[in-house]
Amino acid sequence: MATPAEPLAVWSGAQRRLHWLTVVLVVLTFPLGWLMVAIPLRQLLLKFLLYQLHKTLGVTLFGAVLARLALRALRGRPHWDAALPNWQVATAAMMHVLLYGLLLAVPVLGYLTAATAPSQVPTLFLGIIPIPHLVGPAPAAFAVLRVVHRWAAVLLVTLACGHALAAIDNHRRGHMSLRLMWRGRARRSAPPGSA
Amino acid sequence: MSGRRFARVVECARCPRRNVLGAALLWLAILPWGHVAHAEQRYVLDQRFGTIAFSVSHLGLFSSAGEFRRFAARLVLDAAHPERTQISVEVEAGSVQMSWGEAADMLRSDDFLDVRRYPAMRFTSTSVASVAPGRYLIHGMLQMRGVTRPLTLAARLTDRHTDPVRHDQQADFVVSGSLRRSAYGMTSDAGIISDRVTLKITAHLDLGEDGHAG
Repeated sequence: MATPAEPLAVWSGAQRRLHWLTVVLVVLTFPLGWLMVAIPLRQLLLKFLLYQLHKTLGVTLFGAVLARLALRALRGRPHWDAALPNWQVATAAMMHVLLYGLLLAVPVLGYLTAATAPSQVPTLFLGIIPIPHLVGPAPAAFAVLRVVHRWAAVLLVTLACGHALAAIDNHRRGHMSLRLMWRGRARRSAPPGSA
Repeated sequence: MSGRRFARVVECARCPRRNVLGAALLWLAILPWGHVAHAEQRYVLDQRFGTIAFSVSHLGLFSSAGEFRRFAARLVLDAAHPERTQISVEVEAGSVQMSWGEAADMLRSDDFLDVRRYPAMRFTSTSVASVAPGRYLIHGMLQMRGVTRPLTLAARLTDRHTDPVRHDQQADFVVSGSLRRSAYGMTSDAGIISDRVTLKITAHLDLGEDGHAG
């Protein structure tokens, strides 16, 4: 992966949009996962549709995160705010690595859970495009995978909430991080591209 | 249950002619083995000698399969008159199993098999017709969930050979058919579980000299 000679002054439009798309997808997919499991078998059609929706959102999320990582590799990121203390920058950087890791791991765990499930319900993206299960049913693995997927998702959402709270706190202290991700420029009146 | 008899498979799957001549020749061929030839042979089969499986489709996208693990079948085969074959099967409805435990529980519930009220399903043949060498149509009545409806099954002899060590004749059958579950009062979840239920039944007939048929 090539690092650019000069870091970006601001997040690009695509990077920002993908970031907020990720937020929306996580906010939708997480509660849907708990709901779909709670729906009884009496309502089998609804349960099936919710599962497929959850899986579609998960696949989309995985694609979005891959795109973000590709853009990150190609374009890099803006300078950290110079006013932030080093320990905050280090913590934030580590947090971002963890978040990227979980954003990739949770959908993969979900896919493996679906593939190893004894019930063998196919994964249909948008309800019509089948995504092949590269592993077959495996009850022992399934029992472990579904628990790990669930709790990795909880960890992801917890860290994401911490990430969001830190961004809001950062913003309220007058730093530019949130504004950079939301608007793409550091100051309201400043033209785009200036730090 | 009446006494078991020594018996052999009498239907010749490889004879170009279907019925009587082939069977009669076979009878003549096996007489020197010292068995008394009777017109009827009776068999009793249970889950050790066959399977009763079913599958349904979901929105045409995928299917689910299951089987009944406990059943008892009685067969009366008539060598000279295959059309007089009689088959009766009793299946324990609660023995249904699927790869997914919750699905099997749902099948046992009131909306589906209702095993509390109807613990057994019964199929009794009314006639058997030979349509080709080794292929038969079994017409009968299926009683399930308190409803009795006609059901036709197609049976195919898939393997017949003599065990070289024990000199037993062995035969394998695959029986297939389908039914509409709504005809038996099971209309639940019509949107996601198909009305048509495909049946696949296998049976292994082992006609040993020691008289253990199954």
